[in-house]
Amino acid sequence: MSASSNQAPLLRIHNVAVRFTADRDVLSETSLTVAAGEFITLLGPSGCGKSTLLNLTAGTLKPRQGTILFDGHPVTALNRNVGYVTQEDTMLPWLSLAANVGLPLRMRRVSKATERERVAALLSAFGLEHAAALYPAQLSGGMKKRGLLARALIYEPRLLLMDEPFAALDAQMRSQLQTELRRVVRDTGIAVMFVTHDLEEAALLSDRVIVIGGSPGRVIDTVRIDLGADRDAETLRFDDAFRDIGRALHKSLLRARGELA
Amino acid sequence: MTTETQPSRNPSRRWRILAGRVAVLIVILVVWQLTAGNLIKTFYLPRPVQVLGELTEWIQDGSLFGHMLATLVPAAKGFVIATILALLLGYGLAMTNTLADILEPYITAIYGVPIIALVPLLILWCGIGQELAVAVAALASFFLMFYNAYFGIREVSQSLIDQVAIAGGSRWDIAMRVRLPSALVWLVAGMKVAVPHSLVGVVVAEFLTGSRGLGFLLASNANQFNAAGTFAAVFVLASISFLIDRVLAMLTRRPLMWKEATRH
Repeated sequence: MSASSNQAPLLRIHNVAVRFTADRDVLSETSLTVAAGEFITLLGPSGCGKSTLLNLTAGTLKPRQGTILFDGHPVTALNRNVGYVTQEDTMLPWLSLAANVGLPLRMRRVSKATERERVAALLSAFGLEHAAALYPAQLSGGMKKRGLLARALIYEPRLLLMDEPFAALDAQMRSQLQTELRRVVRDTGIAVMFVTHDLEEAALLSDRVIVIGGSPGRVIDTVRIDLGADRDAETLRFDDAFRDIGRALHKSLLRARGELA
Repeated sequence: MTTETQPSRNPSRRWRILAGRVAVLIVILVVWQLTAGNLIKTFYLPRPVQVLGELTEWIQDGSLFGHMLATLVPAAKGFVIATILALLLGYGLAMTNTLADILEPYITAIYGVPIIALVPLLILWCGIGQELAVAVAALASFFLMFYNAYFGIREVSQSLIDQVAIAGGSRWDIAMRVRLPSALVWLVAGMKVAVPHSLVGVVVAEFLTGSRGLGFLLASNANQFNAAGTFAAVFVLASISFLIDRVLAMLTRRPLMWKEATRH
């Protein structure tokens, strides 16, 4: 479901460079775009600056050079038009699951009734109705992830940033959540910028994979994944086209790693 | 998160513990009753019945309640003042690292000064009335509450704050919905130590200057070489600090329920 290319992109990162220490860039000469409703994945070895690109987009980090345009406007402060889900557990431990999910709406001064309604809808979309009153400490890893995803979606951002969100989960839970994520993306038409170092995850989820690597990190390759919006992870694994994509990604990833050494 | 053993989960164990506690009390009382007047003169160690006699007398003439009130009210006032100041200063310093670094050696130095060394100065400033008791109580609990507030507010992970901010949180939201609740957990832990400290502060003030209160009761009985009265006053203080601890545990159970949640 990739948007047409002549439309202005939702996100345009142009020629950015970032450094944390005085003498070395972690990311340089990096440009990329995300179209509205597009699912792109940043794939690459750890430490190549993938998460840095998410932080630039969220506005929690400023580039040393280059520009970030979101919906045509430069990102200069915190970008409240995105949802952000990280690997970490960022639930507020003293709030129930329902209160955590509804938090963005409360902070955005949305009415109580609307909040209740949206929270209920999202909890049921993720199969969490029964857990509404539980505290984060009582939730399993998968339930917490679903809750964090619901919290990031509840204010209907146009872009969802996900930083290795499923890394800490077991394989089965992971594939279940990947399927749920695809479903949510298809239903809401939200754009996603997803970070992973897992090749199969990248191929399974994305419309387009951007391979990042090297030191300092930069875009090594862009691979379009034309597998359509409706994907069945179980059968896709044995699909020839999917295997070809896997091979192409693998090659790019080797190049990305090679430049790291 | 730690899981402590919960006695309430096992009823037979709970009864055993209660029985054990009663047994300890009985043994102490029996040994005490046998020793006092036989091995040790009652001038030094009064018999339990004598202590009980003093207590009953104080209860009957109504003086005990007055003394308790005279101690508890300034202790509570001092504690509340200390908590408010600790939260304000703790928040201020936790948010401005440079200021915290500048003030750190001074705060550490003042924290180390024994309260009793400051009492003469406080007498100079506040006189010897209830204000003195309030001031000593506040001083005695301030630092404990301050350190807990400071670390509780400071130790919130940056990624949590970023996420709440991106989700639409203003600075006020982050202060009230993230930093303050996080600090409360630490403050509640601090209360368990700080509240008895403010009580001790008041008793010290009364001991030195008071004309009312449990500290005064203790000092006046000791000064008259009334061992039974002194023991009775100590017993009242011990009972009060025990009761306060239990009341605090009950009051904080609800706000800390989310921490307990992990055990079920």
